[in-house]
Amino acid sequence: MADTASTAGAGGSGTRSGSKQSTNPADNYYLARRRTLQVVVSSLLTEAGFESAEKASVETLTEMLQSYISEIGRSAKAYCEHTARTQPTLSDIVVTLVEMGFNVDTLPAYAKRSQRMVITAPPVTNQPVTPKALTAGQNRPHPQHIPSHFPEFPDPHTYIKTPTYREPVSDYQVLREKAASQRRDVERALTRFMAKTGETQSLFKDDVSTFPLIAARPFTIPYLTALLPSELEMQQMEETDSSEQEEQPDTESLALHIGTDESGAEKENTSVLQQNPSLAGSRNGEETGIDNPYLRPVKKPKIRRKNSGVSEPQPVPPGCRGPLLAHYFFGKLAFLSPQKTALLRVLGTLPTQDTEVKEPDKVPAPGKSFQGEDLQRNSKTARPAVIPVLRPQRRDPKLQPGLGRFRSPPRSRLTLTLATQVSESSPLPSPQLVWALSVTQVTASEFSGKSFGHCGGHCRVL
Amino acid sequence: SAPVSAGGAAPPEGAMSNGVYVLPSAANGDVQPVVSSTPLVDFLMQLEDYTPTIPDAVTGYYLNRAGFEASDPRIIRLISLAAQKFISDIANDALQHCKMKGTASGSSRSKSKDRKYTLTMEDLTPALSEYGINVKKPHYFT
Repeated sequence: MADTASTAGAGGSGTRSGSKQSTNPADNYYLARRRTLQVVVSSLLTEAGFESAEKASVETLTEMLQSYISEIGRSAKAYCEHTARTQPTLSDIVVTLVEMGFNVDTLPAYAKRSQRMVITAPPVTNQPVTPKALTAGQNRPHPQHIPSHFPEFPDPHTYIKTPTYREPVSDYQVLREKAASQRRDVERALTRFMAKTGETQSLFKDDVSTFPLIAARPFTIPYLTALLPSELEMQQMEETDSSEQEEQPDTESLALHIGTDESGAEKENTSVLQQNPSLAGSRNGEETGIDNPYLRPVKKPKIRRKNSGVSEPQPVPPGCRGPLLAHYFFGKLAFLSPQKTALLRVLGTLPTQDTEVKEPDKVPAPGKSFQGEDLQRNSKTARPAVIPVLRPQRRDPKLQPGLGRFRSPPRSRLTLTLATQVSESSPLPSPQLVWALSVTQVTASEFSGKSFGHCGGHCRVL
Repeated sequence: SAPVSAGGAAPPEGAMSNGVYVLPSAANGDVQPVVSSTPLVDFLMQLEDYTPTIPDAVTGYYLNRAGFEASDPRIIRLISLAAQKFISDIANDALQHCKMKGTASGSSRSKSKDRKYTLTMEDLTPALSEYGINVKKPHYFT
């Protein structure tokens, strides 16, 4: 075929192909077509009349031929898709050739001419690409719309994604059960934690640690919480009372005024902040106008005080125990006079001065600590009126030291008579005003192994 | 015969007939609008017998690389034929250059130098430059 022609032509390509047999089949697969093009170029040169050619020229023409074919394919495809088609037609190719500067009219003439010339270049047998040794899994086959000459899909591990989380259960029943069990576990854990870190009580005499219960803190004066206003209420009462100070011409307040003139405090119907100079200055015309009777400041009973400094508490008729009790509880906090201080001290130290202490339990009663805390809380909010209440109590040797912290004795049956306390500690003379507070408790031994903390209290006038 | 047919009678100017719009400036007769159908339609029928030099598999391979999926094998032959002609034209031009250089100076006519023509880059480069392809090869490798 091309034997008569160039040395660098078919012969060269033949020798070249022979010399490159050492290449691996993969390269051979890609190079086979290139070699075919070289053979074609050589034959064309021969047809033109050349006997030999430079190797560089042949390579140049081969590269040009390959580029030309590729460009025709790309451009024809582009024209085809430009008209919203996918299959290129003859018109696409004609337009492509025209665009590339090819004279289409001369093509049939050329075809006729070359017909009589060399028909060469046997078709190249396709050598399939050798499979790689690193294939993992089976590749996905081509879908129907993808032509077969496209490359294969990559290994499936390259595009397979697996979510790392499981979809949460959204079943209603399961969720409800989960929520209920979670709540129960949380409650149990919390109570156990409190039992382990706080004070516990046990239902069983001998077995203490198996079923611990959070110790109840019975208050010696259980109704104290109901009577004492909260922090917020106290603060509001201060402000309201400071405004109502001069506007309430009540006899009680007047009596209180009379009674407390010596103490220097001008407000006794307010529970706190009597010596607060700022508040004393700001009580001009502050009227909040509280309508709710429960929110009004408490009116304490007037305690007429003589100049001698001895105050006589009024006799308490049996009918009005309640309000007077409340008054005295409030007065406990606002106490300045030594008599009232002493009374408050008595009230405040009820559990600590145990006159009749039975068997001590290991559980201390934090009831008084509550009171102490309450007082301390008041003291924290800059209410110096409370402090004098605490001071005399601290001086008591029977008391445990500590500001505001009254360690109560173990639980026991306590019965206190105010008469004895009053006679001991203060010059409160009136035996008619004797309050006895009894706190009854049940110990563990009384109920055959079952015990519970019960706090009840009542006052009675002896 | 060439399937490319020139139009017979020139259609009137500015008129739209047979799908051909005639420019008004072509009234002088120098330029006659060619009303032709799609060229090479008939030629395509003849391609079934003709096998171009480039095998169909090779041409089809390169067309597939470019994204061209041929539905008709005759299309592939047409393209291969066009590429063939492209290279042939360049080769002929290079041959002309070679002949011109050979016989530029009056050499002996008897011995026609064109018995042995060797395609060199010096001949190929000007031939390619006429096609707009500029080839610059280094003379030597450093």
